[in-house]
Amino acid sequence: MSVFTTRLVPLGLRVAILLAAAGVLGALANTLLPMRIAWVEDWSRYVEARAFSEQLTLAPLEQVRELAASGSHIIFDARSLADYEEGHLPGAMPLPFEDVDEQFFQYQAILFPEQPILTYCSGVECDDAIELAIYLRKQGFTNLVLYVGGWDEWQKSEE
Amino acid sequence: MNNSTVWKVIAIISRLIVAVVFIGAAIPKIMHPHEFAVAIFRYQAAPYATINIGAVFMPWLEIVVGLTILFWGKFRDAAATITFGMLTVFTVAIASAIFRGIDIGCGCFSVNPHAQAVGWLSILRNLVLMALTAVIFYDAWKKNYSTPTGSLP
Repeated sequence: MSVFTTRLVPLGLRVAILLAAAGVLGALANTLLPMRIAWVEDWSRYVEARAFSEQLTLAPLEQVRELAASGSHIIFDARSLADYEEGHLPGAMPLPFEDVDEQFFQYQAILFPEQPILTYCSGVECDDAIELAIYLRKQGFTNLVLYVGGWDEWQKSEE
Repeated sequence: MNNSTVWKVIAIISRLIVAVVFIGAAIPKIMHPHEFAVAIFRYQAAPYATINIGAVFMPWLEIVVGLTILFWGKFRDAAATITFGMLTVFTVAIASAIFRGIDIGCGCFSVNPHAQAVGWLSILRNLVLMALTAVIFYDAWKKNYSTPTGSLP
């Protein structure tokens, strides 16, 4: 009898039993517990759905072009500073959401509560821009617009 | 203390640390599965169809391997194998996020996106846990196959 049949196959069976036990527990928990979630969710629409439930205004690419050209909105880039320095929307200023508490104070002097503000991050797979918009709303800003397509969409449209 | 006693102590401490870390990490994820799904989403690496399934099953797998490492000697090598595999996946995911410049919460011990950002410290912690898991596997494997026939005692 080889090591494979005497040791590795039984080990594989034991691994399978533990995986099955976790599978059963997970399935039971997600069926019976009140905090259960959908088995599959359309994550490509997650940020938009969240923006809808948070009652935030969304701006499509064409509108963002107009806003950027007119200078009517302060545009905040919610990505990291390194990403911002590699490229950003015209006129955008860096406000990385991960450091928002430390970075926001430098903009407070130029902002007023009704100031139109647009936020964006890398694209549909990032939620930093919506988190930043929610943060700004908590700071008292009322005219917030979210660009979900973000830097990825902007860059593609420029190619 | 002779070598055998020292080894036993190292194995017991390794089991305690890995099991407590895994069980402790699983509880907030089980209590807040959607927040954990968001933490997985923020890595921008998992296919959308697998995010919720992973968020449901992963913490229960952490509980099962944690309890098995603590209380079920005959299955301890299997639990260590799974644990090592999970830690490998976690480490690759964190390293990938660092290299892609994605500044996100780790999602390791808390579902709060601001709890602990991914970083080299998270990778170092995982490598230590992998080393402890290797100790657990070796100890359990040795015990399982220490009989002359090579079968489970």
